[in-house]
Amino acid sequence: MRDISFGQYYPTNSPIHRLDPRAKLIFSLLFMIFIFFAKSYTAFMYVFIFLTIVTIVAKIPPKIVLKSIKLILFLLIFTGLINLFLYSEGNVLAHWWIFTITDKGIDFTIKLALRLALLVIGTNMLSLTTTPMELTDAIECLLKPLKYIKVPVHDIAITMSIALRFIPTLMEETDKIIAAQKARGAAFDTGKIHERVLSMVPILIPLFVSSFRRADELADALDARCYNATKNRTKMKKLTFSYRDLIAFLILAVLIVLIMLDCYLTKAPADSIFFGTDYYIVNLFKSWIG
Amino acid sequence: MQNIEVKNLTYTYSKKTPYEKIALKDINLTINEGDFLGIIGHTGSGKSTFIQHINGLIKAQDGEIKVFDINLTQKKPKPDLRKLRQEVGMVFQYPEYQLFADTVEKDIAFGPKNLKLPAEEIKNRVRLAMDAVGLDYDYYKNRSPFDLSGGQKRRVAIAGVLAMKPKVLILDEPTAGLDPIGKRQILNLITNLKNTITPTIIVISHDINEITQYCNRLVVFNNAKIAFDLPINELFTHSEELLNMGLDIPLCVKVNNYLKANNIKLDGDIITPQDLITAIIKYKNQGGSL
Amino acid sequence: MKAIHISGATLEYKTQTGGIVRALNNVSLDVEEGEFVALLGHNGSGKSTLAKILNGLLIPRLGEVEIFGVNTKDTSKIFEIRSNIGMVFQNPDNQMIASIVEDDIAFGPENLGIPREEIIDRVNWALEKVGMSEHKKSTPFKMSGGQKQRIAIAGILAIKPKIIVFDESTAMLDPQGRKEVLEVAKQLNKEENITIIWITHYMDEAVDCDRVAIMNDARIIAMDTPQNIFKQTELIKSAGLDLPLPLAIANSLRDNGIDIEGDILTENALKEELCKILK
Repeated sequence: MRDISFGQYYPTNSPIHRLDPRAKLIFSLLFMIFIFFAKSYTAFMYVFIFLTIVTIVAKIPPKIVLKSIKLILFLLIFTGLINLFLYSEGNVLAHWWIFTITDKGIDFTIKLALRLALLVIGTNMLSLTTTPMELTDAIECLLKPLKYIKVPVHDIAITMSIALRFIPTLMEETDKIIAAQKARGAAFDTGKIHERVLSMVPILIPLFVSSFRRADELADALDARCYNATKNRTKMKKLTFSYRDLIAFLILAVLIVLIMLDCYLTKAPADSIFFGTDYYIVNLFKSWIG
Repeated sequence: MQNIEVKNLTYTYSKKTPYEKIALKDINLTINEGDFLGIIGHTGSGKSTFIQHINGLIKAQDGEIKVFDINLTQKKPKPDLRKLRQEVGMVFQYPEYQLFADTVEKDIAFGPKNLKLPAEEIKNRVRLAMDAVGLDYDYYKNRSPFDLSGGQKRRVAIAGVLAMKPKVLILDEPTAGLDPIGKRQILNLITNLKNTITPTIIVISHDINEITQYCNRLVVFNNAKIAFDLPINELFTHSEELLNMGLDIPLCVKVNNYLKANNIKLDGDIITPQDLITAIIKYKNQGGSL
Repeated sequence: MKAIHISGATLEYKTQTGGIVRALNNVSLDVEEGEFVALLGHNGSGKSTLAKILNGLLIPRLGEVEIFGVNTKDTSKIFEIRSNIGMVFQNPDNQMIASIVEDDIAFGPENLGIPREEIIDRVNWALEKVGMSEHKKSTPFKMSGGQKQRIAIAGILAIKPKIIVFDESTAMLDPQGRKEVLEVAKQLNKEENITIIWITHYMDEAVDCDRVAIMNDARIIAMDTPQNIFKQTELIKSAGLDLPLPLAIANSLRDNGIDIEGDILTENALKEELCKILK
């Protein structure tokens, strides 16, 4: 069984993997924001080139990168169809009942799908190259200022860390319990709905019992290791930005500048930022009134 | 009579990912009725993966497994797993952690209930199973399994498997974590079961001094392969190899090897303390008469 | 100064069904600094409760517990006590809080507010002491039980305790893991002069420690050197325990009229004695 606490993490020890997790987290946020300013095919090309470079430097097989799109394929097709049929501006190419296909509609649909796909690939890069542990550290560090408004940042971080630590343990435990009950003839995938729900009881009760036992023991272990001994807790790991993060930032900055320049030059109209659903609602409304 | 036949079984975890690991490689093993088989090997040597194959908890990737007349590796018709699990009972490590019902009786009845047996038959089986593990039916049936001692809980869990009336019983580390009294009770219980209810028993154990007390054949797993499959008295002629694999050998074998190296040749196979004591007394008596 | 001083400790707990069980009954115990003391007893004899009153996880209802002269009842000094007496528990999975080895080991000293540079030194030192230096950046999830338990020990060592209590720390391990963990404990006792309380129900782990205490029914019923303790076969049996296997074999031979001399507690002693009498 693989260690699922690593999530999507794809270990290659590339320069991208070694970036400061805080930097990667911030870069991902910037990427998410600025991809909505990409409005022409040229801009999408810039983003595509950027992601290709990232993939190559990160030494991740393109197949793995594209896998993330598979998960949102349904969403892509669904929103695509809605936009295609309900976008009413532009030259009408076909019309049936409340459905219209226009040239602008086609253009809009393609752009929307591209944007969504690039967005998912880009943000997925974060989880492919950063372990959840690093992310926890990064979040703790970025949330630090909240300490001054009495948010228990450290307790939250410890809780997150312990949760991560116990995910694989509890998964393994669940597997064991399922195997044990199966060995006693339990069937979890047959029968009527209420039978299936009831069939979970022999798994859930042992799992709860053992989780409470673990929590009890863990509490003792935390106490034995002087948890809460002082308010001035120190931290061994210090995240430090390096020249690598600066270079990465500069490359991202080039992308952002290119996107914004393109956005300015094409003078594209204000665009939907809710994957077209706002357009859909407006159009539906229009068609009802009209 | 052959109970279980495994041919060329190979299994790889997380195939085609960076976490790929070969767990079993070209395993061939026949288990006959009446075998009291011990399986030893390091954590991660493949022995647990192997056992889970026999019970249909892991689907074979490559090779053949036949348990009684059920062919586990045939595609069509699908093997009857329910029947399989009736034939092969599996007691996992720390089986008390799978207890879930509010009374001992309900917990033990879980297996037979899954077999959809009539109520009268279920009750009979629970009573028999409790008898077999030495728990008084009337005294314990309505008690909560969670209020019992560690050793008692384990016996309830074993009864839960016995209630399936298996012809082959597999026990994974049956005495782990128990104190000397608890251990002795479980060992006596297993020997009793062998002589009364389940003709074929397979025990996985780390404790070589313990397993050699009752098994008559030992299978040694090492690096995903079967390194040895021998009757007990023959296995320890390979003491050197076993030690090189990092496995323990029985105390009395060590003592006997030491005596041999010092030119003291005791008579017969010496594996258990009883063997050693008998041989020494014999040696002394002969020495006295010479 | 005595490392541990317990006098007349008595403690009860409530069961789920509302009954009251006495876990400690007038227990007294003194341990000198640098001693290696084994505490033997069957499950439910009170061993774990005794462990938990040592670092103030539990406070006895009656009696006193002092660790290097500091009473566990003094709540203002509880962290002084806990940094002096470390505890390694039974299940290695349930005492680790981080997914990376070095982060986990740093947890204790971080809690104590130790400066960053010193924490790094301590983590390296502790990992070296338990022989796990090359696993510093690994995740413990896939390790063997013995390795996990050694990391738990390193996590305790980083606090720099003068006493370490091992509360059945080998019960869930395979023979290899048991050996590893016991070796580490012995080494810490010898090289760092750390006082060790070794709680177990494996007799063979107790044979070469300084003193053995036997617990039964919430009391310490005997405490002496291993040689003297294991001579008392009846006492050991009445406490629900077994003799170490080499001794059991030696006794059995004695019963059969074979003249075996000395205290046969270990495999080597048995080998040599048998060699001597059979030559």
